[in-house]
Amino acid sequence: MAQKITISPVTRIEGHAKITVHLDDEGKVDRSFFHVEQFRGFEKFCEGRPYYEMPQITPRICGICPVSHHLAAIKACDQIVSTTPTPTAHKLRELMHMGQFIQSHGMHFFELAGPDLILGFDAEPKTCNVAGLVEVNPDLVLKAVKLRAFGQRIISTLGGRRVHPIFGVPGGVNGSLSPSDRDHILNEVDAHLATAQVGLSVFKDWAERNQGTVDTFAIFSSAYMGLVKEDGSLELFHGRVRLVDAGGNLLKEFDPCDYLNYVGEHVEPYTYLKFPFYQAMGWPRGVYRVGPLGRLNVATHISTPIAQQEMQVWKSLNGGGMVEGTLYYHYARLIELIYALERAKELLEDPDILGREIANTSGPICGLGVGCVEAPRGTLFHQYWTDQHGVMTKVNLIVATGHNNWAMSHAINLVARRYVDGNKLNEGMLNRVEAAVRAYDPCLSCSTHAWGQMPICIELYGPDGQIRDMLRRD
Amino acid sequence: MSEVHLTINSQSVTASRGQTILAAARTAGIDIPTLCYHPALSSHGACRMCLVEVKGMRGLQTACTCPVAEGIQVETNTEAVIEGRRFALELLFSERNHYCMYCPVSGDCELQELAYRYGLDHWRYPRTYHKMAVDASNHHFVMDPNRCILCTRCVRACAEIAANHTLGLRERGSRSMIMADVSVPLGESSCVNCGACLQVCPTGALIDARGVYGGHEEDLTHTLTTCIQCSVGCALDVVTRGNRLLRVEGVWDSDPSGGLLCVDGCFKPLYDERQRITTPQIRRNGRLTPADWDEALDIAAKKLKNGSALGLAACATTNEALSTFARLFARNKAGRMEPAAPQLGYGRSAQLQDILAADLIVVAGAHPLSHQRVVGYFIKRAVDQGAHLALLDLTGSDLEDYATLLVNSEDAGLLIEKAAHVERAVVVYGVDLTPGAIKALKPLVDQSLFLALDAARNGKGAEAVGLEPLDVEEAEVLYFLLGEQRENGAMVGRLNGAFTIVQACYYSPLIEHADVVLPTPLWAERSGHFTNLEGKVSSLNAALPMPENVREEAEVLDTLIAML
Amino acid sequence: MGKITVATQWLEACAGCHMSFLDIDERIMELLKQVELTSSPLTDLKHPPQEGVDVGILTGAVGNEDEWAEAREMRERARFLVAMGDCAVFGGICTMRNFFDRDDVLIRGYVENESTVDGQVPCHEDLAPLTRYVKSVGEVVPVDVYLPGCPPSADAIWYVLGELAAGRVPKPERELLKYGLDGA
Repeated sequence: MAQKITISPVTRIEGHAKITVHLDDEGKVDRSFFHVEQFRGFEKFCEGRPYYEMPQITPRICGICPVSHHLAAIKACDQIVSTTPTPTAHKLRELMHMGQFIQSHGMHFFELAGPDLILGFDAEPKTCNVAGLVEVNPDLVLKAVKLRAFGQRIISTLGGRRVHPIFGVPGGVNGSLSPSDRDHILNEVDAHLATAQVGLSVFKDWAERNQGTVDTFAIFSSAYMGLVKEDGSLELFHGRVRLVDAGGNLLKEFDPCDYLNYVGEHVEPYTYLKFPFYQAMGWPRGVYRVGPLGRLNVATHISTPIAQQEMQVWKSLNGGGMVEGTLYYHYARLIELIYALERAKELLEDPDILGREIANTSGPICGLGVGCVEAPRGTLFHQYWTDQHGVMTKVNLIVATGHNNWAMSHAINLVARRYVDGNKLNEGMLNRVEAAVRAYDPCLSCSTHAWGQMPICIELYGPDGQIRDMLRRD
Repeated sequence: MSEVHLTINSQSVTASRGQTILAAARTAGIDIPTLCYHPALSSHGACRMCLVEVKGMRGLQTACTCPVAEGIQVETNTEAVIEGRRFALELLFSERNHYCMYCPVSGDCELQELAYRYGLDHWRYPRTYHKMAVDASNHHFVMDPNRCILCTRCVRACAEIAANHTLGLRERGSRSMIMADVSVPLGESSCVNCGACLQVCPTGALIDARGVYGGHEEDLTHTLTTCIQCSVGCALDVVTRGNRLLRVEGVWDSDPSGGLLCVDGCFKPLYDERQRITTPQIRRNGRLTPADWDEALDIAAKKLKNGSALGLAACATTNEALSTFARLFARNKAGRMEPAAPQLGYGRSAQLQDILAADLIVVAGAHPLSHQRVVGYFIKRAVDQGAHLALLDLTGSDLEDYATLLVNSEDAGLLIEKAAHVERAVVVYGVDLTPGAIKALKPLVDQSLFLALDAARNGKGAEAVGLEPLDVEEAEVLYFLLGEQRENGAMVGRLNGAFTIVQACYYSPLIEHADVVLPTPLWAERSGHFTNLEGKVSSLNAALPMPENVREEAEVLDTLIAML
Repeated sequence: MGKITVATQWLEACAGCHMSFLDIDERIMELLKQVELTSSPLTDLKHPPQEGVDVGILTGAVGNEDEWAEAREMRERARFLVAMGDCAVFGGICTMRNFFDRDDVLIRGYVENESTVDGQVPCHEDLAPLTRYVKSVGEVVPVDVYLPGCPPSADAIWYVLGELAAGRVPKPERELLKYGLDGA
């Protein structure tokens, strides 16, 4: 064993993660590892609980996208008790989901990734944070805070709470939307839509000024996965899973309930985060990317007008081929933010949204249910098995961030090979590693940039175990 | 009852001898927190939440069990008392595993509320993580021992309110568990699903499987109404949120049952799988097709006007509907579909509560545990308290296990001998009462009260407007007022080609043969009045709005009267 | 009065407490005038400064050896230690693992799991070993202020930080003292 560089903490997916970079005897990068260090055991400890508790237990997997878990769980519960939501309930669930995308995507771009783009990728680290952003553009920051609050308010209006709401019940939801609440939310949508469009223009400006970086930074081909509507357009809440290969050819389109036939998970001993892959192609050939980039790559178009206009531009970025640049995640995320706002508006303008029939009654317990939604970070699967009384016997979860595990590892590897050279450690490397991870918005990394740069400590150890070099930023 | 004088927190309080300190304090408006105590149940003194200091007595006393005495000085809020309560609370949280982040009653939990009150921002004692299996085998509710604080309210409710004795405690100390029968799953136990345990549970240990996560108390609406599933007419608290029916509870201290319900009242109506009729329908070219009200009523009125008509009402509706029905058929023949208990021709009427005060209960020609279950539970309660139960001409009765005397009317001497030794007897009889039994019971008339169990829900309401039991007869028009009454097809073969009008809530074989179908509200959507088997009139209040195209029966019948 | 220094760390948690913190919305600007975040829940620094901080905040439970060490380090460097959220205060949902054998939990996740192909339980020098039991912060180090809730409301967090900034010891009560999914 030669030398090892440890970067800790990098990000937190379900908590802690770190990166180790291993050097060969010549001081060149041998390979890097992305370690996710936290394991809690939801797939085991839910056993024995009544099925109806799952929509409240599983959101505790992630406090940033609890709504995704809540809704995936409630969809699985619908199936367990052989029921389906009423049309109003289905739309209200989707509306809550749009609230989730608005708050999560809004926060990620403006408060986390924004400083890089507005202040510059190589801005002075001490000011490259949201506080620095306040200096430069206080108006935009305030709008961004309000955009996030707007998404959270949609969630709390429906589910009573901003974090870990209580809304879905088997066959529907537990409360209807009042006309006054509907009007209140609807009146605000356009202002936030404008904010989202400003965000998109900020990104485009930045990309134009930094074309070199965008065109070279962690670009690699992969397959992609995401939900689509029947007509192949972007879907975030309820659709079919589509997998396309690096050339854009359809690998498979399937009902989410059949996911076990298509998605496998690989385990590496150095991380608690598993590596999902497309089973037909096996590991590691079957790896793919999810999240905003994945979804826009698999979708043919978007059903709302403003987002569709932007989609057309986005689709042409790589000459009509798959958009591969890791930094284009930001671009895709902003288009999705616009879609979420437009879709929320559509839903709010639909008379059904005020319907009073909000829940169907349960049927017999069938003992099996699969729930799937697009979480902000990618496709989320929940599968539950119960006994004849509805007590959980088994749980299987594939969380959004997991699908991108390989991609993040790969991106880090690319960056490490490019920027790590023997005993030399430099800031540039830190920035790039950070940016590579942040682009994927792995569940908790999004919070790392809210108040400043991502704190990183890199230690370079010699074969004797002595520190050769250290770079610290905190 | 003699008076006792004491002070509570230096305030002079007068109480009755035999009262507990808790009762005296509550009468005087002094608050003492409680957890295992429940006003509908006996006191247990297990949770130590009601600790008080009584000057001169060693240690702290539980106010819910400690009787008042002349001159005692009680303090309810000393440092020692508060520390004692806090200690007890912390132990309660530590002994089991309370996960408030996903517990359905979080926010409406009595344990949680007390913890807040005593400022418990954490629990000092480590938990044991003793794994306890959730029992979801009962279709209607789930028992989670992890959230159980062993207050035994459920055990007491099962024994004292329902007199069913299904629930009990097994093992001791921290291993104690609530169990059903000899530790069998609830779904396989002797539980009768009266819902009493569910309603008294202070935590999330007993959870209603249907309304779970339906909303916090502040989101909910409680509508007090009357159960119309049988002739007892228990008071109901129907819990809704918007248009969603979450659960049904009993109303403590209410007439006639004091809060006790049965499965027919509190669970079954919520799980009714029959298909609802939501729009008027008329037969066109041999097929039932949706119609608007005007059209349907027009046809019905024309037929009623021009032919001989017979009206048959299932008494599953309001007094208002029944009386309008009687008016509609004033010039024709009308009656009720269900039989009535035979007239005795003697004896004073009993009230339900009289059963509890009786020394002897005689049941004849009735099966209350199956049909008027709350009456059956009242009889079991009386037996628990030492009353004798005699069954007259009843074989194979589900009350047999509780009876001390099984007699035939031919050997009624035994019964009369028994009755001679009691002060208060109640005779409960029903439709199957035989002439022999009527004769045999007559000697009991002096010391007895008589309770007739009507087979129809609102039989008394029908009786009041002159609707007597009537069989189907030949007529040109048959009009059935069914409401929610289950119709198993018995009528289908007896229509004899009559033009058939059915006013009903659910689809049934009869509907398939009807010419005009008029939808009715279901129990939770009804407004009006109901007369129970005691003859007491109580009100029905709508807890849910009717579907758009459904109308109250009385309103529809009134319209028809006007059209005729 | 000068700003108070605050360091925070999250242990075994879902981040919901931090989201609830962000839910103070525009008040964040005001807070920054009173509080200097050194290593914060959101800057996510691994180590609070050597010289110590006025207030340390821990969210999440303690479920592996690294988290154990982080809790101890925070205790050593913070004059006041706040346990925030049900996981930190009571152990929270993470302690549901305690009903099972640790190895069974890992085997379910990485070997028996339906979608896992050729699984193995991760084990590596760079992965902190799981502790047998997941514990609350208070079971590992002494805590000065407890703020339960899953998550605590933005108002409760605002109250605690405000009191600390004003030099007072907060004691959450009434509307600010809620467990689990109670309260918004």
